[in-house]
Amino acid sequence: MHTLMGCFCLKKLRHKPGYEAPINLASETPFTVNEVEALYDLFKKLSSSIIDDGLIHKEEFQLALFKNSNKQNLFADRIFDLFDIKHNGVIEFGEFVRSLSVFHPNAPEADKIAFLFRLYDLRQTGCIEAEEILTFHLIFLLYDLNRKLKEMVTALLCENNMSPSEDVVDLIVEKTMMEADTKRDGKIDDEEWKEFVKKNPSIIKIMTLSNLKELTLAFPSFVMNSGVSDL
Amino acid sequence: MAGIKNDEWFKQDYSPAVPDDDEEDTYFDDEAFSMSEMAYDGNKSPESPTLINAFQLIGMSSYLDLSGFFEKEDVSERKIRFTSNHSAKDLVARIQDIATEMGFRVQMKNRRLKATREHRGQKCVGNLSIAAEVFEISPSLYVVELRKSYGDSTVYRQLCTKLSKDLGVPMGQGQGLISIEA
Repeated sequence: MHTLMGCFCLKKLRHKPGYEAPINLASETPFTVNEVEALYDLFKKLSSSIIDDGLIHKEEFQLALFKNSNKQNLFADRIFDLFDIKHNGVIEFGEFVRSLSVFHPNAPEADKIAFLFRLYDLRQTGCIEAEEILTFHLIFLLYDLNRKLKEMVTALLCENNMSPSEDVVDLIVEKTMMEADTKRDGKIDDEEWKEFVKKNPSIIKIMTLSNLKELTLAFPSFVMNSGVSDL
Repeated sequence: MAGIKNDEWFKQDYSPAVPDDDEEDTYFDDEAFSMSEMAYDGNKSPESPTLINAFQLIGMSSYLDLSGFFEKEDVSERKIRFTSNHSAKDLVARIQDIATEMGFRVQMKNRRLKATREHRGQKCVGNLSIAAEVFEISPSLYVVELRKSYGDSTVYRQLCTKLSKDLGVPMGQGQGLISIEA
């Protein structure tokens, strides 16, 4: 009996903190056990890329997404924070699977809408404010688009007799707020957000990763090792 | 991986999982697609370009694209965006022309376009499926987003180069073509 218990302890020690059995994770997400095992393969790869400790650190997260561990960005920071459910500065396996599950094509739309709401709520006040949207836009303009766009925009505005100080980005944000902020209180709350997404469903397009449906094809190595067959 | 996909056993009844570009599943259904069935948003006319809202614009950021976890290729090899002063109508027409010229089968709906080139029976080399969409930022400034759904990267780059040349937007670090990486 004692040696049996010893065996159990050893098996538990082999797994890092935050590890959850695939069968548990599969029962709580749209993933099958085989898919969770495939995600474990991916997780092992990502979590050992810089610091081999079975946890995904910020740099490893950035490296995985942008192929560059130094590439910092407000958007990426927000996503990392949301994945880091326990807020301990690292992403554990359980957190990884649960967070990714929201992006599954079969995940409930309500979950996707809620996740996106929290993503855009920069200051975590429970509402999305115009300044927060503007911040994202500034980041977008700075990091994603080259300066030429801003120059083009300014030139166009002058050409079309729009006051040069009018920022197209401001206009877009203003228009969006007008459409979304039906209560006219200067911010978008949970309710208004749901209504707005209903009218503009392409907003949550980014919350679905079709790759998640092909997991078992992308990581076939586990198929040999898995004791479970997909039912 | 490629070996499995090329095997006859695998090819039986297999069609590659096409990433859902659109929320409406019947969007590019050949039978259902007809002028009269074109849905349009709210009170916009069927021909008016998609007026972008702030969240759609933010959503274009490659920093919010988690497919990087699963794709070997850098996002700049799979998705490009460029701005243009051409009208949305012009842009869509030209993209359609070029794609058709290059042997693609093109499906269109409003400002969205899907182009596929498939050589059945042969190896997958040269196959490509892309989706393009035109967004209005202001009445004379549009953004075209071109995404590779699946297929040959070389063909994808060829297509992008051709489009950039024709739409008067130079490729690479030049003006107008916005590369995803900062």
